[in-house]
Amino acid sequence: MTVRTSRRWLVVTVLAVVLAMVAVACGDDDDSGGNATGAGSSGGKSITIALGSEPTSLDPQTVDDGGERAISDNVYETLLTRTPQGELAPGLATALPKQVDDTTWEFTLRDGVKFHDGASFGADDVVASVERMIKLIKDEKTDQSGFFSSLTGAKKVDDRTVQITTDGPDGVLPARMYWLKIIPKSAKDKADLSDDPDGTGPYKFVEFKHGDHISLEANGDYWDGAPKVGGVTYKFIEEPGTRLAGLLSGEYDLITNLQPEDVDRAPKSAQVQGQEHPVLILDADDGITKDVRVRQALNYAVDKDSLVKDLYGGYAKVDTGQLLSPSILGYNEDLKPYAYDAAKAKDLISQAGAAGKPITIVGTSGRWLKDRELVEAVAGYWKAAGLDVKTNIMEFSAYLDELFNRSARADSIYVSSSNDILDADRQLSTYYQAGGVGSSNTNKDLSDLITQARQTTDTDQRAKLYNEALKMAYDQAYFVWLVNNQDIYGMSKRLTWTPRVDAKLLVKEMSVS
Amino acid sequence: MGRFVVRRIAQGLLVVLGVTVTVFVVTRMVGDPVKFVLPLEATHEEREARRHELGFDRPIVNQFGSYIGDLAKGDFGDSLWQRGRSTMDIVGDALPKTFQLVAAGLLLALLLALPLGILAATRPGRALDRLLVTTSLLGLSVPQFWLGLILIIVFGVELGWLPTAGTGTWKHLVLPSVTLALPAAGRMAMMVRSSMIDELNKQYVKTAKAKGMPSVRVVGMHALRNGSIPVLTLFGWEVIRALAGYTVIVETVFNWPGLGQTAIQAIQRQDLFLLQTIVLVVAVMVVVVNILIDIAYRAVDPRIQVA
Repeated sequence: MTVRTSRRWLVVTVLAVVLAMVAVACGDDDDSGGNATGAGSSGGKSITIALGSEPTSLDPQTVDDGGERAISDNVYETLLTRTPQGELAPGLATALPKQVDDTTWEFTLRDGVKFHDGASFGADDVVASVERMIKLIKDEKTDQSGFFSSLTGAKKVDDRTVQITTDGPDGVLPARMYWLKIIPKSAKDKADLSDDPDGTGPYKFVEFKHGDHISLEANGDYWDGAPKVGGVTYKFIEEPGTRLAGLLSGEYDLITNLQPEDVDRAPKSAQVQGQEHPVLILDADDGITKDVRVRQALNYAVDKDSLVKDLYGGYAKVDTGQLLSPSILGYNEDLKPYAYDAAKAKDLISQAGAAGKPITIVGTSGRWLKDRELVEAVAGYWKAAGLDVKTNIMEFSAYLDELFNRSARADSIYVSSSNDILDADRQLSTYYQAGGVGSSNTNKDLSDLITQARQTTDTDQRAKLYNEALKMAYDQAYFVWLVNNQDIYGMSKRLTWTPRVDAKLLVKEMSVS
Repeated sequence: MGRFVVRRIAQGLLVVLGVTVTVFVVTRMVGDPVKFVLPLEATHEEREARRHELGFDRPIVNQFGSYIGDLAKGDFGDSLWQRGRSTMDIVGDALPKTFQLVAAGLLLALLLALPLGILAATRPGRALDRLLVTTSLLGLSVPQFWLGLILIIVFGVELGWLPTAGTGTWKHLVLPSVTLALPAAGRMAMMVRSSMIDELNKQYVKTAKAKGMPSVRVVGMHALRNGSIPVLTLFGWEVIRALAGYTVIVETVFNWPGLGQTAIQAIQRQDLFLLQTIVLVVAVMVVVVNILIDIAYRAVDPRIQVA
């Protein structure tokens, strides 16, 4: 009898499990509808873009995240934009701002622009965007405070004119307004805009299925004419190999961060000189690197051309000794890379009495393109120059602790510096200016120059000050400047697009056949 | 049975509590997530302010007190990585995806392992048996990430029959579940084979055959029933293993947004709050599956004393 009951029990259990599985599988089929990429409202064809990471939010004012920007740059707009080559240009403002006084900038706004929900764009929306950002900074709710902490307010002059004020003279303000996304005034008091993005941009938000995809459709009423691509689906694929496989199978039209070694396998690829500059920070205040001759020698010792060729497959340029890309205001045309001169390096090191002495390089692995290989290659060159080199490749968290702890930092630490808003101030105040998170010098003249440049609102004068600061740091060899990477994109045959120096994925600039 | 279940649940609660405390302490010893949350260029002051805002500047005992207090209210905390989302919502999105993968993968493994193992056991040493043993060994020794990539290249890229990554349709499920199934099928087929060979050599089988019972009935009913106990143990272990994170490789290779991939993301971004919730949920699942397996033993073999 027991045998019979338990057998029935087993049958029931198995049936229940199978039914549960079927239910789960059926539930999944509902997803397929949302996944299909229908043509957008403008009737153009849709494309699929594979990003390296899922947006951490779709609120354009709270996070500092490339995944978020990839989406929001198409949904929201800013007062100013940049040309694909990086020059500031009018956006929602009709021209670059006029300066009213040292701390007040006046913007004239474009007419006939509408938010996706139908509301007209005007001065109130700009005021709301600035005021919300100020409040988010005050409440510690945004990661963008570094970009906007100088803002003190915005005032509506009339419906088409706004004045934005800063806490002091701020030469970076126009660049900041290339970064501040304009939200509708109705969103001003909302804590989180992630659930229903509403901007003035060429694409409208459709849906965000966490872990799977985001889709946008063309905004037929866009003020600058409906975009050619009818809709976009974004997928989030962390593994470069998986991204490439999807590109090869035709599932994606565009993938980011194509690996240099995969370029030949992609159906089509495009490169642009980006903003990524791997560099070694040298401790100018302590240890063996305190001597400027040693710091210069460490620059002369490295064959940068060979790094470009062998490590990055040619998809990089030698850094001209300034951490800035040519697309940035203040880039010093006169600086030339420290030439590769092993004999001179050896000479300088022995002059400084440093031959055979120990030096440590700290790096990390898997965070930036070829980060570990780069540190190892440099260590090889330094060894050849006559130093006793120790490399210490740390797990990223420990590495950050080391980077952020100025007093305990090693002689030399690797970092890859990037510049999102394409303004020199961000990189220089972080890495060049004494007290900056990644700075390793206590040069007061340099620090004063950087502060002065930040407070200079005249563009030419600002560029001149940066030129001077960059030259000073170059002569002092506060870094070993290595290369400036290219951003590499893999594309399907049917997609036409030219990448931008600011790495923005503006779908309105793409077309598909 | 009832007393047994109550006792196991009580033990399970203790395990879950222990895991929760350990994870809480360890994640906070490892380091501070603020450095990951803010951009590299953020100033020291910005980091300090955020640390304060998130409460990481408080003593760990106080932090744990608030965590338990919130848990009691059903508040699992908000994610650091997916800004402003409840960690339970994120786990709630990921968990069904992992269930789906585990269910499809292990069902497939079972469907492969049972008939193959039984077939091999009925003719031990013969060509078919040797072939099955070799194949099983191959299946269980193939590294999963390699298998996954090969399947992607063959069926996704070259043949173009199936999508290379992601979720959405039943087609998306095929390659990941096959990748998950093959090693498990290999392990289980070996187990089915050896335990069936044991059973088939026992006296009661000979008796049954001698009295003229059809061999399908002998093998399929009598021997299989007794031979399935070790298989059930292994199957339970496979389920626990898969739910507790073994799917992470498959999920990463196929970009399958399940719990394993979510856990990886949480670790990479040091999202302590999300990690805590994931570990808590996994601990509960492991405890529950263990209890279910003990109950299933009894159902299959009433002689087993579970009290």
